[in-house]
Amino acid sequence: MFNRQSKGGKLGTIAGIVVTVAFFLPWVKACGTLNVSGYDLANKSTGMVQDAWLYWFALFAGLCCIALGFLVATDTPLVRVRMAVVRMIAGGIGSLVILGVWAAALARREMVSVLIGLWIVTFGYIGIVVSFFMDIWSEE
Amino acid sequence: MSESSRPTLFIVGSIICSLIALIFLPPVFGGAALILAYHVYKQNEHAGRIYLTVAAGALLVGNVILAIFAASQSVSSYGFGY
Repeated sequence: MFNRQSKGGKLGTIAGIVVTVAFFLPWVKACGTLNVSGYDLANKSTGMVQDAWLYWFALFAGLCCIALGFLVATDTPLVRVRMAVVRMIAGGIGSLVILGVWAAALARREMVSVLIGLWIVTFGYIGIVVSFFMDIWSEE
Repeated sequence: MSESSRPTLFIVGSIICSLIALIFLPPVFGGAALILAYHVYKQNEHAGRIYLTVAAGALLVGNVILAIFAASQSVSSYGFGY
């Protein structure tokens, strides 16, 4: 099914894999020693995280993009745009969480430092957004 | 509702949802704007692309505004969202 994807569909699938893998990598270093991944934030394993369940959306968006990439063929224009919209909605929900972590980390620069996982997941979400625009503006 | 008035309804709905998404619940209203813009795309490809772009832009900008606002509200609390 992956071979029957549009260019945007392929990029979206790869971006989904990147987001899913990066969800389990360390995102931020808090208080100098504590490395926290997206999974740790969602699972409340680092303490009392406010609205911890929201962090699962970051993983959900990645899984959604992977599922669309392997289950739906986007070789017709209408299906291509429909799947791009679904990917963008999932990416929009997930990116809110990532932007929240970025905003919180930048607001507390002296206590929190950004690690490689947050950078990778951010690039994954940028890939999801780019794949949306590739698919809607494609002339294939 | 006549068939001819439906595209206008979808266009107006998409624009209104896009504007709301800039200031309130971007994933919900941005998502609604995208779905309405998709219905415009089904009837008019070129216009639909523009409204899809506007809706996606509103969703992303609304997300950025909400994240900055949320961080500024919680910056006085202790730690990293703890």
